Amino acid sequence: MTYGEAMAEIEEIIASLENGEADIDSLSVRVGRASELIALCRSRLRKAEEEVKRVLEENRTEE
Amino acid sequence: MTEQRGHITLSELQGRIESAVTSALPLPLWVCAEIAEMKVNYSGHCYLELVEKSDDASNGTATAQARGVIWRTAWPGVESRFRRENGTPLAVGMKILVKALVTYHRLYGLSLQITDIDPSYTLGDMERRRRMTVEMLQRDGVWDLNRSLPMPEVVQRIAVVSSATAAGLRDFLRQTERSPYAFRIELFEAVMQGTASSDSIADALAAIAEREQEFDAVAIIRGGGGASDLSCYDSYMLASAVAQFPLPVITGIGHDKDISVTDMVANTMLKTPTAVAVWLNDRAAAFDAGIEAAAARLNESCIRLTHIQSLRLQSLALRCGSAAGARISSARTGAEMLEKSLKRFAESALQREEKRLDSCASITANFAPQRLMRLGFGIARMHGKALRSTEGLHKGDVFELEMCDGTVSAEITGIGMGKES
Repeated sequence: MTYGEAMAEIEEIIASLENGEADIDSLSVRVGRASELIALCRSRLRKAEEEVKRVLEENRTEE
Repeated sequence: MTEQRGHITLSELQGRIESAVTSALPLPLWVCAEIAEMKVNYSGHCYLELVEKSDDASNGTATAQARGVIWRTAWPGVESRFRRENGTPLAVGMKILVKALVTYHRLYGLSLQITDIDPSYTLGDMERRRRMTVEMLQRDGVWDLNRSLPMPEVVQRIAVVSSATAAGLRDFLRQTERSPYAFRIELFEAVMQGTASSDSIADALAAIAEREQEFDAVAIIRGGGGASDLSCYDSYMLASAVAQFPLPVITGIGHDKDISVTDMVANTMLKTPTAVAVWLNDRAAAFDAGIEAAAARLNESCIRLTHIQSLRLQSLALRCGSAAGARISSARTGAEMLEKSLKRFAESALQREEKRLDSCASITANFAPQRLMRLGFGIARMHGKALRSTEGLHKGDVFELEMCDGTVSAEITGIGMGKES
């Protein structure tokens, strides 16, 4: 799953939470799913950050 | 029978003629005539055959003729004065004015005893003939022809008209051999003085003309020895042949007085055969120097040109280097700026995403049932299904209420209408 797909699903879940579509029983499932996805995204983000840092560092040493 | 008539002896007749002549012409007279023949004998007397010709051009027939003699007592004085004043010796074909005593000898007949010759008469006649030749050449339109021929820059192949035995030819050859330049000289022999020379030189020129392509120029040279009869060089026939000659003619006739008509029409006139050789050498040397100078100039301009080009290259290289340096440094600055902004951009993108995730997380957390229940909300369930409405509920129905720390059972004791329904 890509970051974009994960983010889209998070947005979708939040939208369903905010307009009260979800019943109370599916709520905990959705919240859990969203939390899981958020965690996934965070870890992706951290990896991306490290990657960016590494690439920029490499550029500098290549000069 | 032979009749005896009155008679006189031959010597008596000659005696009478002698006395008649003596009484008729007692004193010397000035007589003009042309020399038809001339010789100085062993004893030093000069014998002349004098003629007068009819006026019909050059080959007129004799209309009068007489013998003349200059005794050896008079001859050296007469001869040397003539040569001194006219620059040329007495020669056959000349018109002379002589002071003569007419004598008659019983044995030898009539004779003119010449005691003096007026040189200026001959000079005047020669001058008149020269002028006539010049006028005729001008009238023919050939006067300038040979002089207007271009002389080659280097004259190397030379047809020489001269006498094989002439001292002038030897001088000429010796001088050309001494030159550092190579000349190809071919001799066309001719008689160079006296009455036969005009035809002889013209024949030599004709022989050269047949091989015109093989020569750059013709040199007519003569010289050395004492004074001689050079009137042939004033003759119309020879001057005309030289004027119309297809190759440039150089003269070195070697006379001390006036220049001849042949000299005047020749392309280049020089005094002596040696002068001709020197002139040829100088002309070659001038051309050689010209080549040397051209080579030096070529060399110089090559050096200058390469120097200028190398300076230009150097300056271009400098400019190129500094331009490249500037370009690189600006590119580096650009790259650094790009890198910084890239970093900034990446960081802000990451931060934005971080915030977005934070906000997603906080929203999501708000909806967590445990939190809601801690806030005092409970979940009512009937038959395991969450209740979202009063619809379908009746008094006495039992349901379960889930709270944060446990579940209770409850019974409906009454149903009231809420604001929403």
